[in-house]
Order: sequence, then C-alpha cells, then structure tokens
Amino acid sequence: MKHVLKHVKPYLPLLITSVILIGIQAYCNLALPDVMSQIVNVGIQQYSEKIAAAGGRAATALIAEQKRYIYSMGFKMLVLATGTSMVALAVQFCNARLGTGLSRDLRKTIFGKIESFSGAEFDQFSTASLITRTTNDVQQVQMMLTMGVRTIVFAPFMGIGGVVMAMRKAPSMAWINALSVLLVFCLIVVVYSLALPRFKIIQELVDKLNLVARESLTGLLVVRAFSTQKYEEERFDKASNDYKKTNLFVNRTMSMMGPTMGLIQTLVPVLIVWVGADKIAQSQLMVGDMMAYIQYSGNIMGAFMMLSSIFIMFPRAMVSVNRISEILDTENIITEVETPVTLPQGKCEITFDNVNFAYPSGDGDVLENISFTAKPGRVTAIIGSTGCGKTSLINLIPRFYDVKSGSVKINGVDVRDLSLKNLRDLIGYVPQKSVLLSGTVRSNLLAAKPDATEEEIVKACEIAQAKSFIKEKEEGYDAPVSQGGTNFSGGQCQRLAIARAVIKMAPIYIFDDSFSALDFTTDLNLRKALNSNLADSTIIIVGQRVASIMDADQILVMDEGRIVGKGTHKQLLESCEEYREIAYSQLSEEEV
Amino acid sequence: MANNNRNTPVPGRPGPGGGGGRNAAIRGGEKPKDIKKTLKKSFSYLGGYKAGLALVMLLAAASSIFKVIGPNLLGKATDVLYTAVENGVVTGQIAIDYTALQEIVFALCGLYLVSFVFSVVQGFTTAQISNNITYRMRKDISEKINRLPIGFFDVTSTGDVLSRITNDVESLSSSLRETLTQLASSLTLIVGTIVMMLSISWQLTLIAFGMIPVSMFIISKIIKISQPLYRKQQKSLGMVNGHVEEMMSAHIVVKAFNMEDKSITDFDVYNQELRENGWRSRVASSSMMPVTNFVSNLGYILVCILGAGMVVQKTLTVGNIQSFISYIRNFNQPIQQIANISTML
Repeated sequence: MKHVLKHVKPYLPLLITSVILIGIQAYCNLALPDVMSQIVNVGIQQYSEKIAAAGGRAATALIAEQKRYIYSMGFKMLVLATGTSMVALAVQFCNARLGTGLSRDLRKTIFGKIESFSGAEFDQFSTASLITRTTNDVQQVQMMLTMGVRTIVFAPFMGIGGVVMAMRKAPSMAWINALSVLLVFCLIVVVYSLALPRFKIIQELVDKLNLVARESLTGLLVVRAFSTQKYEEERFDKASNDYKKTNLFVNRTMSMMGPTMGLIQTLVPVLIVWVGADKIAQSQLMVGDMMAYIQYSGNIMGAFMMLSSIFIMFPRAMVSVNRISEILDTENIITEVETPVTLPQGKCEITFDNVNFAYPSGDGDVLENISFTAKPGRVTAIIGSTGCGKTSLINLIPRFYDVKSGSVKINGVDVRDLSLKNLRDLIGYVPQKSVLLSGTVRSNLLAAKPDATEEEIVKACEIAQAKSFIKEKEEGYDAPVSQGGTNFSGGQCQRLAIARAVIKMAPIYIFDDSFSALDFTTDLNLRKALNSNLADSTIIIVGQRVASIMDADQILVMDEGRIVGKGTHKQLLESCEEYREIAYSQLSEEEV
Repeated sequence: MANNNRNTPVPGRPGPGGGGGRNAAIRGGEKPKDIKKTLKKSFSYLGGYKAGLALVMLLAAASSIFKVIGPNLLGKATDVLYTAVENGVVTGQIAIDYTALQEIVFALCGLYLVSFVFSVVQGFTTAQISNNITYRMRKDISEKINRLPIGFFDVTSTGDVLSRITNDVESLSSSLRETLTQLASSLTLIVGTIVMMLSISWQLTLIAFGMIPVSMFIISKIIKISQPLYRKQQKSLGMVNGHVEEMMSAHIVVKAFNMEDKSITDFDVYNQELRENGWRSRVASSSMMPVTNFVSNLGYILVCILGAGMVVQKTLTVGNIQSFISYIRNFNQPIQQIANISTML
C-alpha cells in the first residue's frame, strides 16, 4: 500500500481539489429535496391556508404571491441542479487526470523495477504473472482510484449530510435512519464475509488460466508436433472450470445484494409514512417535510450502498496492490558497488576461482569448486550432459546470477566490483534460445550497438553466416522480425543472435549452445569466421556436439556441477573417461 | 442508486482489434465487415440457454412491474395524510384515516416482497448462465488455438491472444449479462412507468417525455466524441501490453545487451501515450453521467413547479407529485443505463 500512496503524493493538489468539488456536489444534491419540501410546505400548504382564510381581494394578491414564490423556488432548484452537474464534470476531469497519471507512474516504476531484476529475482515470478502485474493490476488500482475517490468521498458527504438534513426535518424519526443503516450494514457484512475471501482466489485462478493458456501458446509447435492438443485442452479446461465455479459463487452472492438492498430501500419509505402519520396527526411534522425525509433516507442508504461498492472494488484492488508491492518489495540480489572499477575494452582474461553456486530458490549447490582460466585469443569450450551446470556456469560471467562463494574475475577484477553496464559491455552474449526482438533485422543488431554503421551490420552478418539468407529477403536488412523471431528458422535465428553479439566486437564472447541448429558446413564456416575476426577475444563456447568444440584451445568437461576434465581434445581423449564416452558416442573412429 | 453495486465496466480490457501493438497495422483490415458475423457468433452462445434466458427476462420484467406500482401507492398514502391535514385546517383537528393507510402499507409490503423474490431468482439464474457461457467460450478458444494455422501466431503476439482469452471473454460475458437483464427490466420499467405517469397527469408526462430527445441528443453527441477516444486508448493499451510482454520474454537479452534504458525509454513513450489517450477517453465517457443527470434534474424541477401549480388548482394531489418524482427517477434510470452501456460497447 505504501508504494501506491507514495505515487499518489504528486497528485495531492488534484486530489484535494477533487474532494472539495465532491463536497460541493453533495451539498447541491442535498439542497434539492429541501427546496421541494418548501414548495409543498409553504408554497402549497401555507399559502392555501392563508388564501382560504383571507378571501376576496387579499386572496387574489396572495395567489399571485404564491405563484411568484413557487417560481422563485423553481429557479433556486435550477441553479442547484446546474451547479451539481458542472461540479460533477469537474470532478470527473480531476479523477481522470489523477487516475491515469497515477497508473502511468506506477507502471513506470514497476516496469523499471522489473528491468532491474536479475535472473534470480525474475525466477520468483512467472513471466505471465509479471505481465498481469504491470498491466491488469495497475488498471485495477487506477479504477479503484478514479471510481473509488469519488465514491469514498461523495458517500460520506451524502450520508452525513443526509442525516443532518433529516434530523432537522424530524429528529424524532431518527431511529428509522439508524435502523435502515443498521440493516444495510448487516447485509453488507454478511455478503462480503461470504464473497471477500473468494476474490483473492479468483485472481489466482485468473493467473492460473493465463499461465496455462500462455504455456500452450508458447509451446504451440511442440504441442502440435507431439499431438498433445487433447492434454493441453484438458489442462485448460480444468483451470477454466475451477475459475467458473468460484466465480459463480461470488456472482450469486453479489446478485443477492441488489434485490435485498432494494427491499430495504423500498420498505423504509413505507415505514416513514406509517410513523410520520402519527407525527402529522399531532402537528409535529409537515407533509412536505415528510416527503423530503423520504428522499433523505434514500440518500443515506444510497451513501451506504455506494460505500459498499467500494468494498467490492477495494479487496480486488488490494489484491492488485499487494501483487504490485510484491514486485516493488523484491530486493535486488545483484547489486552494484558504490565505486565500481572500470575495465576498458581490451583483452580480457576470465578466471573462475573455486566457485560454488546455488540457485536462490533451489537447495543444493549446482556448481562446486569450479576453477579455470579463459585466456584472450583462445577458445574455451564447455561440454557435458544436459543439466550438468554449463549454462549456470556461464551465467555467472555477465552476473545474471552471483556466485555463492569463490569469485569470477576479469583481468583480476571481481565481476562484482564492476558496474553492470561496464561488465556487460565487455561481453557478447548469445543465449541458448536466440530470443530476437520484434522489429527488423537491422533493429535487432542496432539494439546491441546503437551507433553501428551499415558496414558493421553487413560485416557482423557476414561473420555470423547470416548474410546469405538475409540477401534472399526482399527487404534485406529491413526484413521484419516477429516477436521471438518466429518467422525465421531455428538456424537463422541462431545466426541472427550471433550477428547481434558479434557486432559489438566485444573482448569476451559467450556462446551458450548457440550452434545447435546449424548444419555442419555452416557450423564450420561460422567457427572459422569467428576465429579470424574475433582473434583477440576470449571465447567461451558451451556445446553438446563434440565436432563443434574439438578444435578449442581448452575444453572443460562437466559432470554434475564439477569440472571432471580439462585440456585439449587430444589430452582429454586420453585422460578423461567422461569425455571419451561423449566423443565416441558422437564421432566415428577416424574423426576422433 | 441501485446500479452502484453492479459490475463496473473494466477500462482495462483491450477491445477486439485494439490490443495489437505493432500488429495493429497488420490486423487493421479486419474490423468493419466482421462485426455482424462476430455479433451473430456471440449470440449463438446464448442459443443453448433459451429457456433460462426467457425465465430471466420474465422474472426481471415481473419484478419491475411490482416496483412500478409501488410509488403510486406510496403517493396515495401521502394523500391520505395531506387530506387529513387540509381538513384539519377547517375542523381544527387532524384526523387520519388509519384503516385506509394500513391497507396501503400492507399492500406495499406485499408488493415489494414478491418483487424481491423474483429479483433473487433472476440474479441466480443469470450468474449461472453467464458463467456457463464464458466457460464455453474459453473452451472453444482453447480448442481453436490448436487448430489455427501456425501463421496466425506469427502475426499475433502471445499477449494479444492471452488478453482475448481472459479479458475480452470476461467483458463480453459481463456485457451480455448486464445487457440482457437490463433490457428486460428496463423495458418493463419504462412501459410500466409511462402507464403510471399517464394515469397521474398527461401534462406532466409530456414534460418527462420532452426530456428524452434532449437526453438522447446529448448521449449521441457524447458517444460520437468518446468512441474514437476509447479506441485510441485501447490501442495505446495494446502497445504497452505488447512491449511489456516482449521485454519480459526477452529479459535475459535485454540484460545482456544493456538494453534496459532503451526498453524503459520505449516504454515511457507508450506509457505516456496511454496516459494521454486514457484520461481523454475517461473524461469523455464519464461526462455522460453528470450531463444526463442534469437533464433528469431538469425534469424533476419542472414537475415540482408545474405540479405545485396544479395542486393549487386542485387538479393534482400532493401525493401525486411525490409519486411522479419517483417515476421520473425510474424513467431516467434506464436512459442513464443506456448511456452507460453505450460507453462500454
């Protein structure tokens, strides 16, 4: 809640203006029935009595006066009505500015915060949930504010104002108001204690629904390939069904409110007439006042009902507020030192010094006692079975995660002593999934190096062996790329992702299993081009294919989080059992 | 006031054809000619619930009829009191006809109770039907996803499809739910109210009628302004959602290439655009309430003044004014609801 309140602060003047205007609006609304009661009491009843008593000429004068009185009252009402509407318009304006401004600021803060997340924080939330939190949840908060402020302020003004006005008309009937408010209150308590706990559940179920749908969308190709549509449908069906059941209960409970409220609302005037009859008989109450009293009692209950609508919005919005707070309260694990060391672009030697690593969410160590040095101008390859910790290891270099103990150093400087920007500027990174951004081929490369020239772009694509298929495209380098690069083949995506890294001409290159979708010729050509063009860079290649790493200057063989072998292809064939196994399973006798 | 606790329109729904982000241009061509088909399809979901829907509409109508009779009876009660007061001036003592009053009060209680029961049953049934419909729609979408050509997903972002499954279905079902029951109850309320009003005074009814074209004119003007604004808002919302979705999916690349600042700058642009389009759209659509309210108040005032004049001339009773004021409120409520719904569509 404090995060949201902090964001309200800049809009305080707007908020206060809105509150004042709403007060005026309530006053105008309350004044209307009072004027009407005067028309009945004075304009009709008293003048008629006087006219009846006077008779003759005096009566004619009185009739004219009566007319004038009624008209003047009518004019007064017109002024009030106009005022109400003008003020209401102004309120809407204030609230719209307030609500949209606040949600803009909130979105900005949340988005900025998420962008500052490292892998560790990012893992805590599913991507789907991060998206709903930045979009839907903020909308919910905005709605609570725009509708809520109006209601939260207007309702008490109307309620209290209504009580005051009603008391002035007939203090002895105050108990009717008390009773009606009490009834409304009981109703609200009962309904909400039934429905409230479910709101949170509903929100969670919506998330679940989103998650399931998202998974079957992103995994669409896999689903089709393995023909698991039925399974996906059933999964979705289950989530959808759960949502339906809970939602039905809440809807039903909520649908009770209207009619019950209506019943109370309609029976109270009946009670007022019944009780008022006695007061009128004793000349304690005028008929016009009783009529106004009925309207005020409506206002009082209306105010209560409006407040109750807040109780619908509020918990929903509170759930959203909490979900937003969860993001904003997440402390970044990867932080920067106050006075970072700056490493210039140039040769970089990477040293892992007795590194242990565990994921914040998991229990055991994923990496144990990792020590090695990757020299500039050399290729260091990492090989091992799936899940042995290869990706975890290289993720430590750009600080997607931090080591648990030990250190990762570049030219003797701990990566944690560098600024993140400096560190990542040194690294050309090609991820396992080649995540391209929507836009064009060019925009994807420019994202890595905004000031790249046309030559640099062409060169990078040439090195990455991407030039040939880009040339085939009608638009060339301006060929559109859809989100995730889904309009390119896997191999093309990988080559574009490589081009994106290459264009940086960084001192360090990390290829996380980035050649897997390439055919052998392309793979070979690519590696040749990399070697000749990135001659001074420190290259780290994670791979599964022995063929693509056997030329490396240094090969690390990993198994269950440890380095079990270190050396060249030849050395390892002799010394390392695990490596031999992998090599023989993939290559023919003579290739080895 | 009764409509305060209804579900409020969700401004956050990316409307059909609105949530595309960069795909908006590609999908730009799909709007007008499909509307009829889309509507037909939406209504085809109602098909299986014909009996249920008929029941709901019947109940809503019945409950409205009882509500319509109420104010008239209450006005009669006031008249009983006022006559007693008037006679009191002559006799010097106010003698109330308690038997007449009691009869009216009992009748009122009975009416309202029956109306209550009808409403509750109607609410339950509606909730059931609308939830079944959303469930079926989602099921159909989920199955459809597995049958669509892959090409569809090349030009449609995941976020876009997701928001259709969750938000759009939800808002469609809530508009269906609200529209149908409101249609039934509003229609009976209007017809019933007109009958009651005419039975009290045709002159005053004429005034109330005179307000309709005024309201309608204003509503249509406002819609003309607010619709394009709303569309613009939904488009910006789609841009923001699209950007967030993409940046979240590409988080690791954003980090690795120091693109956080660029991503945030881009976001700021979309975000600011959403804000600008958002508040304009909000103001335009929310100005509907104050304006129609004003027109309804105008009717109220005219009835008070002219009614008072007629009471003086003995062609109308005080109770009649009271009932008539309630009827005007009843009468305007559907109009305001129409106004509200039309901003939602």
